[in-house]
Amino acid sequence: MKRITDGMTKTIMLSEAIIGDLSRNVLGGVASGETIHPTTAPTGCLSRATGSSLSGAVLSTPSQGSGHRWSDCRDVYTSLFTRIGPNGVSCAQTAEDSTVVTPSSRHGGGVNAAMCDGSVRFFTNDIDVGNQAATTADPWPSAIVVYPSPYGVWGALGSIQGGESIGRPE
Amino acid sequence: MSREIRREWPACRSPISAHRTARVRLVALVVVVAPVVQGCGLAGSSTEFVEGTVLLDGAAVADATVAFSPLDPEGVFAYGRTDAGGVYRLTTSRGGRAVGGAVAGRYAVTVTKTEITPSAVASFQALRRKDIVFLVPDGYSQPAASGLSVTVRKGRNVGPEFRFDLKSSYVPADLGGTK
Repeated sequence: MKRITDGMTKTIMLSEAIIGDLSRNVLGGVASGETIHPTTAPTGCLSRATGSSLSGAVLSTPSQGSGHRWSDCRDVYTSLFTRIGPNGVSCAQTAEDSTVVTPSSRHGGGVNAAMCDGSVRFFTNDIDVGNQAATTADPWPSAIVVYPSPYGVWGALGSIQGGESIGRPE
Repeated sequence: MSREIRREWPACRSPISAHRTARVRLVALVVVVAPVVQGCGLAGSSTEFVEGTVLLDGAAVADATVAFSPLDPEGVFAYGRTDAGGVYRLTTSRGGRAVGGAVAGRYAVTVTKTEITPSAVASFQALRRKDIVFLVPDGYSQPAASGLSVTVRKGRNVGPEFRFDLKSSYVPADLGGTK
């Protein structure tokens, strides 16, 4: 916890996510075949959504979705990312590894998330997501990314050592 | 011809607490009653229709991501994906919703189309940049290196400046240390 220098109240620990349903819906489905890497921008994943539907290939093998196999550490089952805004599209590279799982909910307008200090806050879909066309440096071989997230307040809330200012929690 | 959407979205940015959320919902209600009221920030600026083509060595590029990265401080990113004919149409994110078009302003443009090497797919290891196969040269995928910039103006943006004639031999002067 001492490595979370951005602050416990300003860093998301966990959030709501809809149980994956292998559908072509933005909420519940996962678009596959996307390259997930710091040097490629989130716009690639964003462009897979047309309205509330996903274009191209989607994860379709039973259990490949958020909340399935909850004891499995792979991204698609139990991870979340503050790369694309709340209730936005989720994308996978292949089957299980390197999936950007976007926090989601069915109560509309945003998601509840628990911060590292244990408090729970509601983040609305219109939270600042910065410039989603931005790319970041290849972190290899660093284990922890220490540069600020270019993805706005939402991105800053997901980094533990970004050094970003997200304002005072109200 | 197009499903062009121009809608004023009145929500303000980043309410990050329950109290603030309640307040913004109230504001939204007021705006529904009195639609003349303008919201804050980018809610006040409309989006403009943008459509163009991506070619690589003269051939249409399908399934590439075209991203517009704002060069103005108050600008908003926009993005699109090319169809079989290499044609893209931009979308912008406003108040957490996707709306057609892009806000008028100057942009750096990137074009990205990638695959992962089969060995990287099979390895289940953390992806490294060398595992990415750039089907459009990687220099075009970085805003600082693509050498592509364009200005979106009020009205329809469908002119030749929105057609990107890319070369497979393209090597930018500086890739910004992303190699």
